[in-house]
Amino acid sequence: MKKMSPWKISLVPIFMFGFGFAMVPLYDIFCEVTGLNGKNYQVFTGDINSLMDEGGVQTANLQMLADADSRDLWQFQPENKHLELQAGRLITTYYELTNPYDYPVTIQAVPSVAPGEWAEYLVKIECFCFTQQLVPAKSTMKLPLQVTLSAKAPKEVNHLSLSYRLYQSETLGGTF
Amino acid sequence: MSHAIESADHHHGPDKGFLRWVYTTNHKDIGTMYLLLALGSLLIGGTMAFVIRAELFQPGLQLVDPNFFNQMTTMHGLIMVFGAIMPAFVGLANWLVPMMIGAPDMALPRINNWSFWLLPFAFGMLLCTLFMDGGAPNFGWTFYAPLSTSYAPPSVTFFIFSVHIMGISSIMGAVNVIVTIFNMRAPGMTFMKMPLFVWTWLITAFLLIAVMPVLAGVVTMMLMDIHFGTSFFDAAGGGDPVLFQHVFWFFGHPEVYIMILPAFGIVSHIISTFSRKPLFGYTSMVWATASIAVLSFIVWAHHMFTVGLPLVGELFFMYSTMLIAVPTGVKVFNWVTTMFRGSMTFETPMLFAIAFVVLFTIGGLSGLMLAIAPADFQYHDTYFVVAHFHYVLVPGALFSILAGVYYWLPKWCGRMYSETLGKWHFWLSFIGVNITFFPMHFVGLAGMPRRIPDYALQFADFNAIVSVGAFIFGLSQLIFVYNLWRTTIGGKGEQATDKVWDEPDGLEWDIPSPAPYHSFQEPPQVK
Repeated sequence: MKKMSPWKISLVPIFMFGFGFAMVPLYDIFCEVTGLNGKNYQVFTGDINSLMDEGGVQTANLQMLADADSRDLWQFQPENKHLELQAGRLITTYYELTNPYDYPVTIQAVPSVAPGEWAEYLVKIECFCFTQQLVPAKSTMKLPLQVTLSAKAPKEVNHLSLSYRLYQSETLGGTF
Repeated sequence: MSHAIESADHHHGPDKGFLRWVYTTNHKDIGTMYLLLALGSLLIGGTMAFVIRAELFQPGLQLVDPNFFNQMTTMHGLIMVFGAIMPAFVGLANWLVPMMIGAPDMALPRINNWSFWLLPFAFGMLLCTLFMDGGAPNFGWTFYAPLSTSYAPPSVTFFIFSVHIMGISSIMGAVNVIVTIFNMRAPGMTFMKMPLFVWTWLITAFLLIAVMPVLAGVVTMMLMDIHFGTSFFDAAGGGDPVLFQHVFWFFGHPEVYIMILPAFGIVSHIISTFSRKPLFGYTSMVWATASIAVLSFIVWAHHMFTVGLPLVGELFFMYSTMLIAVPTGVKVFNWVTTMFRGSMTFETPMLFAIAFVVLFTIGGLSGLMLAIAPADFQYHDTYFVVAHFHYVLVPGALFSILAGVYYWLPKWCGRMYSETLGKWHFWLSFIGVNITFFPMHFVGLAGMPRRIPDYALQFADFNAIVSVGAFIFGLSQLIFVYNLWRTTIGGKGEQATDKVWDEPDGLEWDIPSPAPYHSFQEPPQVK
């Protein structure tokens, strides 16, 4: 009779321990591919001129929301609550963040786009959420955001909501 | 266990005194220790349930402060899952798997000793957190981040290491079971001739080696988030708290089958013996067990219907979860059909087994209700969920363990337990368990949330009833403890025959009662 080796079977738990950690990048890849978890806002990396050439007549209403942690005392709000997006036209706007503490804080803003199915049509050229931000003590910062509507957006895309939730980070840098 | 010494070969008998238990590599000794550890955990976890139910006896805060209440719910869950149910099944596997397959011992006896002796330290460490600054873990047994990371008490680190240690123990125990079953079956015992308890444990062991490492991984990520500045679950650093729930439940759902599949095996043996009929549909039982195990890997997100899954996700996990009802239904059908027209008698093990079939089915049906994603938005985090999982874990897993102990105890110690006390234990448990958990369905549907020390006035009557039931159920377990003590150490009860019951099926009934310290040193021939 062929024997089962305990060493061989021990490879399964070792592999599965690794798989547990592999779920972290797999989760991000899965969310990116499927557009789930609101992570699928488009980050535009190509030539801006080509983006403007692709423009169209379609417009959509963009509502902007801010959500600071209720446990914290930050003042966090968008400069404009509503903007009109048009395919190919770049819009630059700001969020204002006040750090009331007498020490600098590092924050990470996490975006969420609703409705999720249309998130891919909101194109971000520049966003303060791409990196962590260091806010000096007792100061107000203007955080820039540059967006446009994708030329690929179907006709029924007439409104989008973009909201940011702030998280205070212990350390600067490193997402892993 | 003095009887074991008397009946064993004197040249190869066990050592004397306490060190016997420290050094032992004998599967029967280790099985006994596992079962005693599980009994101890059951009583400790049960005491915590008493604290919870005493606080919830009436609305308002009477006995404990909310933070301590949260520590009680957390520790109760952890101790019952990892300290009572799982070690009890490992103990039963240690005792029974070698005897059922005609092997002299487990394949890796020293690993077996180590697997057991890790556990007292793991649970000792977990219990010590109750006396630490900031108290014990208070974030629920599911320890969702960031409650268990950013907002956790400092004792969380001890909790993490305790989970690591018990995980290592479980994995080694499971590897041992797999290797034993693959390599040490008696000649002629093909896979499809294996007793169902052995089959269900083989499949459980595969689930254990597949998912316990994922649990170890998720607590390691927590450890790194807390102490080493990583951000697996911290949104500020680019992590995602929802990821925690995915990884946790990828472990957690197979885990709930780890706690129920061996129960299916035990109940199959008992129902067949006391119906005096062979089990109906052996092959379908094996396939049903295997398909439940496979399905358990693709249903985890039904615990997370309310986190904001997309519609396709909700539908996929809803349908895959409902699919599990098919193999489970096959099993319930087989048990009922085995009893059909059998010449049944109702000894204590059979009573517990029948109660298992009825009450586990109720728990399964409330599980189906929870599987309906739109309905789950209403039931989520209410006492309905508490009712559901207690129905599958208490009159499910725990009743099967009690049934198994009553069924095989005469084989282990050579004496019959007191049938009168056994019946008292059963009926008080049966009544108590239903008074405790059935009204939880009602308060849950009416909207009472889980994990709260105080509640709205309209839930007061049912909660008082639940608490009374809990005390009946909890105290009736003392009858069981006394019955065990009087049969084993007390030396009371009549001598058991080798067969113990009326023509039970299986190799373990071919050896004398009590089972000699070394059994099947010559493998039996299986026809």
